[in-house]
Amino acid sequence: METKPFALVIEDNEDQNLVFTTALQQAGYAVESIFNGETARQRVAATIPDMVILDLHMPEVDGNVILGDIRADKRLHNTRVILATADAAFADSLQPQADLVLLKPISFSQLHQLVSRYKFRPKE
Amino acid sequence: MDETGMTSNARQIVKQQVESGRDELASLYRKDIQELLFTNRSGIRPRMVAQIAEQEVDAFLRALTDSSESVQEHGIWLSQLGVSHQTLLRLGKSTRQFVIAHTDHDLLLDALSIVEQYEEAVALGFAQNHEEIILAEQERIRGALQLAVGRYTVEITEVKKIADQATEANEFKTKFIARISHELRTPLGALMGMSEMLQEGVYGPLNDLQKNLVSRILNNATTLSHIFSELLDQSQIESGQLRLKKEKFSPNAVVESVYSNYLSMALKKGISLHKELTNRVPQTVIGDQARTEQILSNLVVNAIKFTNTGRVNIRIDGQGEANWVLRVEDTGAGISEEDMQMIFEPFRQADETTSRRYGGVGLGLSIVLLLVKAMNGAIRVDSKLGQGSTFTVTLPVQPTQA
Repeated sequence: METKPFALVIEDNEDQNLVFTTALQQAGYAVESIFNGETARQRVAATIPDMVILDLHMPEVDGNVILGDIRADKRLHNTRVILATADAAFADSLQPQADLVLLKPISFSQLHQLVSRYKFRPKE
Repeated sequence: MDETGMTSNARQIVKQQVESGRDELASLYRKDIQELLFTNRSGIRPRMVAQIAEQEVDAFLRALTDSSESVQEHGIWLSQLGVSHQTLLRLGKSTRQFVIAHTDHDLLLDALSIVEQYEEAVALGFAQNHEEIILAEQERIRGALQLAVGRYTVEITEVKKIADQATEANEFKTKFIARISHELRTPLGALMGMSEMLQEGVYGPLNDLQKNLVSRILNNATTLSHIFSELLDQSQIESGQLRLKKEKFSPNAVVESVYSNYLSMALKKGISLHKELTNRVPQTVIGDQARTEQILSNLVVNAIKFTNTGRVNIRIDGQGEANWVLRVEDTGAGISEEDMQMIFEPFRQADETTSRRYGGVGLGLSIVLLLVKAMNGAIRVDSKLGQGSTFTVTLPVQPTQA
């Protein structure tokens, strides 16, 4: 049996997190849902996710710090990061570092399709 | 007799003459003051004339005995009263006439020199007070100026404060709307996502009624989401926070994209949506593709909204070397001349009752206008009530360098 790709969903809003997590699970990912920035930093340092869905505005640690962590970590050079935010200006400034920026509200089916497409395509 | 003796003698004699001819001299003085009373803008009142004349005689007498210092005081007093310089000269002349009339020839020169000394002392006091007046006046003017400048400064500060408050209020409004729209979008995102999860059958298949209800939930949530976006856009563009991108894009692709996005909206309403592409526009232009699509989307949505039968056309064309044109034509309600003035104002719709009939908060065209302006483009409307409308947007092929 093929091992599932691994994803972190980092989003402090529980309902939104459930939607993202479900979309990835439906697309065939093994998902770990994370609800705050501090835990997110620890999990990013401890795992090798194929995909990270990252909210920008969170209590404690903002998403841009976590994005910085991921991009500075050589182990994670294959990790795709999708920014999920309602803050277009903030997202614009981080766009070069992200693989994709999705502006909230994000469609469940759209996210489902996107992550399905990425699933077995290695990042070049 | 030495000179001082002679002068002293003359002084004595003149004094005697003034004392004996006091009334005569006083009457000369009265006449002088009287004559000039109304020709000069002096502050002297008629009933003071006699008093001044008497004082003048006394002062002269004092000069003939005392030091000139008290005479100087007299000059100051005259000046303070508001006696004019002309009057002063006239009084001096009268004094000399009196002395000439009453003095023997051999003493005349000495006597006149005494009068001259007297006049000088009076004039000195007079001038000194004038100088004080001038200085005081200067001081008063300076004070008034400072007060005015101070008041002016206070006013400027006030105006600045009000302006700052207005800017602050505006910034607050922008921040508030940004914040609110972010806060509203978060639960809305969850709502939409979860509705979709149900629709996609993640938790099992839905029956027809359930599917119908879920799709209504989604439609309403989508409408809300559009309203928040428009509010945020309006406030951000208004507050100058809009950053337009400079990227290459295809004008025809903008039309294709908007056409495919709104085709079903038009068909659902029973009207047709058409696009007319052309090779008369450049393959690529430089600008903000997403914002250009927003302009066209808003115009197309508007046209569909206000058209109940017929069609909506999207046309694209070139205009000279520097510009290209987007045109949206409809066979809808049309716009009356007076409504034409306000359709681009925020929160307005051509007929205030239409917001109930057609929905929306009335920001679509306002945002279009703000965006077109920001792109250094132009927009025109051709419309007649009942005969449809044509919106024409002209955009530069390349943004002009600021």
